[in-house]
Amino acid sequence: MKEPLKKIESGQNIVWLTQPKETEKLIKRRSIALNIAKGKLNDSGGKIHTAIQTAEAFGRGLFTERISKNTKNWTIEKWLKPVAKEIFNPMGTAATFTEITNDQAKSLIFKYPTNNNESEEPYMSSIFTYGLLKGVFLSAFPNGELIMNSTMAEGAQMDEFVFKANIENEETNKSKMIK
Amino acid sequence: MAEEDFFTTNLKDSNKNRGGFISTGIEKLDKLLEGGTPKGFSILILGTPGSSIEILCKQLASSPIKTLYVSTEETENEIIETMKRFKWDNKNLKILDIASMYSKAVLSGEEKRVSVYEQRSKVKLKELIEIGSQGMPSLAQGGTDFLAVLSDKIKDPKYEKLIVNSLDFFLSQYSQEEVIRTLQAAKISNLHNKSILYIVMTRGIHGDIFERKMEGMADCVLELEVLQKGSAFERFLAVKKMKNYAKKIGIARYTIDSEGFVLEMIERIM
Repeated sequence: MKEPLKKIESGQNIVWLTQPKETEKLIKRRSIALNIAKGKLNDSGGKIHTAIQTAEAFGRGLFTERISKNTKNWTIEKWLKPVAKEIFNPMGTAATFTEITNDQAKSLIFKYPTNNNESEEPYMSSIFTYGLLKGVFLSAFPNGELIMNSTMAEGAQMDEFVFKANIENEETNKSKMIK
Repeated sequence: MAEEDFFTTNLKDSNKNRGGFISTGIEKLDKLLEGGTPKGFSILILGTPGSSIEILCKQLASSPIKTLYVSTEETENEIIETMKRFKWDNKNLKILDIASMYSKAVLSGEEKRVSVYEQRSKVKLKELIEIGSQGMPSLAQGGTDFLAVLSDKIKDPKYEKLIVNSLDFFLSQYSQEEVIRTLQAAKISNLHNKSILYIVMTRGIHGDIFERKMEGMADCVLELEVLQKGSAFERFLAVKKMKNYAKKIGIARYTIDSEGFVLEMIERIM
């Protein structure tokens, strides 16, 4: 059976690459959710958080349905594989993950999970992708944080994200270092 | 008392004491429901953007009985302005303005209005996303626990009608299990207080399993549907479920005029 992530090694660097293969059922659900997010953005007069929240709720719902909800002790490594298999790949998301530790990972997305619309509506695709990732990520890491460093919607070649599993730990470590 | 006993006792008491109906405030919806909704009922309203669900909520909120409106998408001012435009009375209405509480956390200042359309040329999308996603639920960062606020307020016995618009907000910030647990507790309180609880949720985001769970939990399910027929749109309000009142299952086409929802052509399904 094909692995959900392909490992590519280059010198000391390891890159994990998603293996996108869209499935009709998930694509249909994504389209509905994306249209609802657009509708909410319009209804609210352009309040961006309404669209982010819609995508985030969609991501949380997918996580609950498709990823084991009994696992409590998530690490980023443990989280990544089932998420790639059950969510990223069947949505056609093309992405790499690098610098993976228990608490952090970097990701470059070069094909959005909203791929049909990316050329027509890059802003919406970017917003929706951010919300979706946030919902899927924070479902496993409620104290986590998702940072967007760049987006294709504004001319970058790829969307760059940083996943941080526990910002409380980070704050504690910082304060320890200051002392 | 064991949890199960507590639950059963409360249900029995509530059923025993329950009597009468509460009007929805919309004459023809009352007609569709043959007199309104039984006291103690939890009603799930499902809809999609474009179905004018937010107008229905405000019309339901205009009521001669004490009503609490929990708003997560519109501010109190926006709600009151719309109600004034429709000439709907709001003297018995109390608004729990979570939308503003959220906005305060999200917006770093009044000058930064979170509008993609207005700001696209001025602010980077990355910055907008940062602005639009901060502050929630932030429990780890000591922020407001909005689910706890909701849980607390909807148990208040002084309100006879409660409207939560919408559940989508809580489902974007909390797990589905946490939200379900809160609603189960709210349902018990609602039965006990003999009030009416309306819960609004967008169909199509949260997954079929969750939607079915919600429909199973609700005593009554109303669904607003918009169908495109050629270049025109037709809107339908369906009563999909009415616990213990199967006769009330029906559907009505609706339009929106200057007085709000106008239901026409009621059709009974059972």
